[in-house]
Amino acid sequence: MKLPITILTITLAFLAWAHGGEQVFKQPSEFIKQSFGGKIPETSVISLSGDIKSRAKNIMAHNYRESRVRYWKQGSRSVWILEEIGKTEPITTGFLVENGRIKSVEILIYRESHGWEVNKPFFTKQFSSASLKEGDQISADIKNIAGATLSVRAVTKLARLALYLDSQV
Amino acid sequence: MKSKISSTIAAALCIAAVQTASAHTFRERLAEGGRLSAEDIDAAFATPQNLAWYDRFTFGSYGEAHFNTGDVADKFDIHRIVLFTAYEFTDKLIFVSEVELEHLYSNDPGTDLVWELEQAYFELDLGNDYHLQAGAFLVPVGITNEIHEPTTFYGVERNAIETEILPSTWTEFGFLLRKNYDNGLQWDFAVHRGLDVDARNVNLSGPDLRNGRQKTEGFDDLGSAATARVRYTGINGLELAASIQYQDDITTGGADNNAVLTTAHFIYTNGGFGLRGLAANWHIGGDTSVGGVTQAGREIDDQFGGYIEPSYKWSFNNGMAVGVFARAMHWRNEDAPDGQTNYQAGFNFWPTENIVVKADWEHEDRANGRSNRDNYNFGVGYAF
Repeated sequence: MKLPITILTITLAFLAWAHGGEQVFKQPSEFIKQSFGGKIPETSVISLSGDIKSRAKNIMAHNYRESRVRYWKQGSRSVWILEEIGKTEPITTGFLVENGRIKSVEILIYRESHGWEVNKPFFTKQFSSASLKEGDQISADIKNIAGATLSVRAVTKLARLALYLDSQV
Repeated sequence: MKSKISSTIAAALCIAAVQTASAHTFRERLAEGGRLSAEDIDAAFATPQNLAWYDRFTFGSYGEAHFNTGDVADKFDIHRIVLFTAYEFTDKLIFVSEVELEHLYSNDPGTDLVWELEQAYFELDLGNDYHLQAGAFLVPVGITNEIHEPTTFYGVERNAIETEILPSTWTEFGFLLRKNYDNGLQWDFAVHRGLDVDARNVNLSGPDLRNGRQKTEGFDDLGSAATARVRYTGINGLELAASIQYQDDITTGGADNNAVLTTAHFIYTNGGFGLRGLAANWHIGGDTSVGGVTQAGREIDDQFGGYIEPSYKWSFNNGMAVGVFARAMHWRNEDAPDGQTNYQAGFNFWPTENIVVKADWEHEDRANGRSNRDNYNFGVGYAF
């Protein structure tokens, strides 16, 4: 009986101690600012309907979580802040696309308990200069990380979606 | 009484509806576009603090069914169905549980239905990439013990080394602290309950470690074991990991049967090519002459094994994939005191990323006077 009581006590202590605040690596507005020289351009919106909706669905393997996706564009640059669930929680990811190629990827808000590796530059730098190739696949060879498969898959899908949506605006 | 309950439910639903509505306000504004402030943009992507209770739940499942034939008796088995649930108390505290239903149906009369807890722990984000788990968690050893959804590995059955030497799925009660670094390094340190090997599971020439798992039936000696692991994933496509575990006494009795487990593995992928290998060794102290569980003179106080597995996977634009693999395994334990070598080859077909169909051939080269066997395995699995 000692063990369940110990676990219960510690659990209650955790509950009492735990407090709010999520793992925000960078605020979305900061990512937009750094992509456009310190300013936030006007927010634009693309509706996912018709062909765009079905191509987005093919990329994500399900309908994207929102039917209207916002983006920020100036000249040949566009910023997309997209979300996809890894295992249990949405991963908020920022993509800067320039001339149809990914210039930078950053995980902005991470809520999963596993798959932490995708937050790190050694993973996100693989997307640098990637473009969309035949079949809406990504041109870069994004290597899987055992134990983070779902997070890797989620971020890779979002990169494909960002490149595809960029080609439509 | 009935109307009181109805009013309470109605009130709860109203509160949930209001919470959901307020949570979506910023998103709706953002979806309209136009000139928006940094605060509005950030609020749109933040997790609402007033999440409705049903938004805090996550469900998932995986399962697999197998058919084995060849030199073993034909066996059909709905091997396992696992239900996963997580609940987010706060942004920093979650509860994770997995409940497993094993052998839901089997034509083997000796295979019984098993209903067991695979995981049930609280995880607290301590900040600075430190995480603490408390409860029943998977011991951080090897590849398969923590990641064993059927869509993630080749072969119908889990490999013999991570069944016989690393007794996956291996759940223990205790505490685990994990730290991640930006360069891809991770360490884990856990203090937990250990194996409980007693006279009933000493086979042929030594202890049957797999049967020493206490699962949720025994609570002997919390804190009698400690496991440390270092894992490195900083080079894309490569994972390196090593674990060491010390157990005070794997019989949880009076005899001096301390045990040390060491294991290391690597996983390398490049395009469709994959290569993985693992080695594990148990050193168990105390032989029968001093009241221990190992046999004097048989030197089976060392149980070890390893495998190597090359594979190649082709992924298609329509989301389908097919992969082939080969595996060579060698191990020595209480059931194979003179060693056993298995060779395996087969394929996986993924019609979607969440479903897999598998087939393989396995040759068992068995020592100690037992005849060799060729088995054929077929399986289907899912994970979502």
